[in-house]
Amino acid sequence: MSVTDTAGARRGFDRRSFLKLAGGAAAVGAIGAVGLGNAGSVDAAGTHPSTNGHRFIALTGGDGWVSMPEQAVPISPIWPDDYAPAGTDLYVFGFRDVTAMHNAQYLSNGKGLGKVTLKPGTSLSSVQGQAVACAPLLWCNAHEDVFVRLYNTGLVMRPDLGDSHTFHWHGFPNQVPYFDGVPEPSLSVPVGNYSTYRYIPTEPGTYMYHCHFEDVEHVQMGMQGMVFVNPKNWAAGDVSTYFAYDGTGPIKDDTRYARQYSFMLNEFDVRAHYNDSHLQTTNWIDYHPTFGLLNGRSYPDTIAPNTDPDNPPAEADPLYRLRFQPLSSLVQAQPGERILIRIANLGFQTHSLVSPGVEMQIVGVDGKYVGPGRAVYQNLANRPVAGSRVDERWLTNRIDVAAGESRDVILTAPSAEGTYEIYDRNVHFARSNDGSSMVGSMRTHLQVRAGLPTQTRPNQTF
Amino acid sequence: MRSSLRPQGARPRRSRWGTRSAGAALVATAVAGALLVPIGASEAVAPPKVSEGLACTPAAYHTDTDGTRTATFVLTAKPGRIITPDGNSVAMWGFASGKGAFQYPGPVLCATVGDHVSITVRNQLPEPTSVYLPAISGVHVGADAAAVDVTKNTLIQAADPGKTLTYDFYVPRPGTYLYTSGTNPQVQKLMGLIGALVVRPTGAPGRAYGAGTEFHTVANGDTGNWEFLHMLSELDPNLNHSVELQAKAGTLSATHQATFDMATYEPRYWFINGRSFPDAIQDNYAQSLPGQPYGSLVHIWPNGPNNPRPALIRYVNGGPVSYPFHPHSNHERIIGRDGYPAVNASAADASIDRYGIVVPAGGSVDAEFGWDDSDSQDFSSPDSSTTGIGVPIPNDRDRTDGTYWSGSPFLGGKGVLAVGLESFNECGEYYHVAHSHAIFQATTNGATMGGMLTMIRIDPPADPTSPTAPRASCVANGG
Repeated sequence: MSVTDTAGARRGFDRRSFLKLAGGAAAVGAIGAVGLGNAGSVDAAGTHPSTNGHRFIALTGGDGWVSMPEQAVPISPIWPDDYAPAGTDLYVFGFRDVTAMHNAQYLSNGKGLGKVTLKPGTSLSSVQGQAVACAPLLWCNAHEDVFVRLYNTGLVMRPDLGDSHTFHWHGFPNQVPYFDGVPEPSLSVPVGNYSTYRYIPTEPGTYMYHCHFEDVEHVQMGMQGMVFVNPKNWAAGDVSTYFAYDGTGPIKDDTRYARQYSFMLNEFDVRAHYNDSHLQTTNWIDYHPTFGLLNGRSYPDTIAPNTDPDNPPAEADPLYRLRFQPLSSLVQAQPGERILIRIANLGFQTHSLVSPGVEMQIVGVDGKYVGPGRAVYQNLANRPVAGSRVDERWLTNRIDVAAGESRDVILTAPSAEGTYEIYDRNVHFARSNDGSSMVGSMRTHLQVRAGLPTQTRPNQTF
Repeated sequence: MRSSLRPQGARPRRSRWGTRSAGAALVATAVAGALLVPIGASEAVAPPKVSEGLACTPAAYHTDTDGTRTATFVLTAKPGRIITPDGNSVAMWGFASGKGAFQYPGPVLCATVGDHVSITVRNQLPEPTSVYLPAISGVHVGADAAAVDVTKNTLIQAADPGKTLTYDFYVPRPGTYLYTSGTNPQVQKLMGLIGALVVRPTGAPGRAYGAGTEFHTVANGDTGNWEFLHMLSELDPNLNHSVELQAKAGTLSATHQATFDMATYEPRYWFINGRSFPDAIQDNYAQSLPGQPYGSLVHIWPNGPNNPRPALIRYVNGGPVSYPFHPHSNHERIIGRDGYPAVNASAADASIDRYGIVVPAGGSVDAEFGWDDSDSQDFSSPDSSTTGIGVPIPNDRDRTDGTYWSGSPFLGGKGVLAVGLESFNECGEYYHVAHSHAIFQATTNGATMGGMLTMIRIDPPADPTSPTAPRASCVANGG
């Protein structure tokens, strides 16, 4: 049963349904024409196929419903949202990974991207109104030829808007406007259509992506996620290849890790989300966020396991609430293991994450390695003698990240098993009524215990 | 590098704000026209020197008896108005150059290391004002060191209404500095009494700091160096309106200063060089913006044999909060902060490449910027399909075209655009945006694609097949 079905059944033929019929009929029809049937399941490993140096990723842009912590004190009357389908409480715009709904002819025989189509029997309409928060975690290896196809499946809740969408790889070096996903200097994807973006990253690094159409609204509403580039020889499950950076030179041994995690930082201003679901406008200068988010979840949901929106937990399962917030922020490590945490911020505020008692080393800033032998800037005459830039790494137990920035952090797990804290000093997000648990804020755990299997994909927990 | 782009009144976004913006554009034009006459007639603006990039206000130089070169500037503090892209007209106080018209921000004062600089403030405001350089030591007024009254957080040496006062100092090192009012700061800074002082190394005007920080310079002609200023700021029109009413009521004097309840302060407009997008990418001295003379379009060619040097962007923050600025298209190399080069104690290069440029309140960041064509995008790889870029381009009915797009993915290319679309693209040049990533600051009173947002323009080389040929401007290239 889909969320849209649930919503329709609950409220019957209401204003929303009317608008959908009146304004969204063309859009829904166009997408429905692509194919009929049910969605295929996403690769259980959550990875995107890479064949012969090519990687294909397909996303839809649309809307959906997610859940903030049940323990949080309500913000009446705007949260929980009274239009929310059962088991959800907040309206979002977002992306959804539909790579697994595509055939992979292109990847196996190289006959061209045009050959990549939806598998017979699949339809994007099956994921309409089911976007995830934060956006799917994307990654690739350096020197891969990466194709990102973006479909606009329309806003089920707001067909009156008819907004286009784009895919903006925030910070991509030497970008050309066509693939930068900013509507004004290039093109954007209208409802019912798709476009394909192409990237050939030459160096590893941590970046982020978001929709740039009506950016202040679409980014805040949830169209934001992390994308990062592994060194070119990175291989899932092969711990000997687990490095964050090699740059243009040798592997940077100080970026070696046993497990890697990503934190997509964001805030939700629930008034803006309520306004969008209730056909109201928001004046964005009045930005006053109420929830702090790691990977689209707020504490304590941050420490719950990963979920899979294509194979959701049963309705009776407490994790059913989080089926559209698939990404956990629980950091697991065996005693003494080196852990990489990639941190990017697409909220509009600066955040200061602290890890009391656990020292961290910042090895990367804004997608660039900052340690000894780091690369020079561009192929310009101003380059100093190669390798002469000074070591800019630093040790700390506090990471501040401004809007639109990223950090790569290496920590060594304590030798004592146990649970350690990582949280944002911005404690005003706490929405608990017991005064201590920081429900609703950016908070997660570092769980140190022996006996963990090898990690085969980022953010994988056991 | 002169741009013939004229985006005034154009609202590229097809959005739910469209109706409101279109009406606002008409109002903006009317206000601009009304303002042109009285300001232009009473006091002439210095003739434009450069249409794009950092526009220095020349000092009057003379040599003292001891041989010291003295750079003299006159800043007249006076009321005026600015216009915002939504059609609002906001009362301001600003520093004008000598007898020039009101402007926001104040004139860009350019000096050279070792200069003795003398700034005279002429106060035409109804309350005392002053010139304060928080990052410069040793400022004197006559024989006295300029000093702050710590009980009031104001400069002791201020000019009363109708008076003048001169501040003298030596500029010790190259860099980018904020100058601002040191009087009634929470009101006067937000009313617009801010500006930039740019100090260049001795004998090396084409360098930001020491060797290795050269930027692209043009030996002759008026096309301009690749030296750009991004003065970041904001305002809450309620503060400005309140101060305007207090001034009109005649309640302000040498002893009674304007007040505003800062607990109610909520900024609605954000600026680069005193303008919000799209005004921000109009040329310097655009006639439609009589009180906002400085554009912020960053206009370059790709890196290449003829353009081996980067652009220099001098960020200064005249506002009350830090701004997380995000230039699209490429990382920038931060080479200096607050007038200190990014070198360590051993003078080794401590520059850092960032896609997030956080400019702290009152601080400055100097950054180099260059862009490689296809360095990371090898479109000739085996997957190039029919279009040469490896992906199918949706036809013009299946996409939403941007008004700054050429219709082609290639630099210098042109393609078919949607029927009826008015394109600002001249010759297939590239545009990238650069904006605050606290994205509500990249709005004009909440309307998207405004506020603290500008563009980076990358022109096609004159002859890409002949890398040694001289580069020509976009217009000369037949655009």
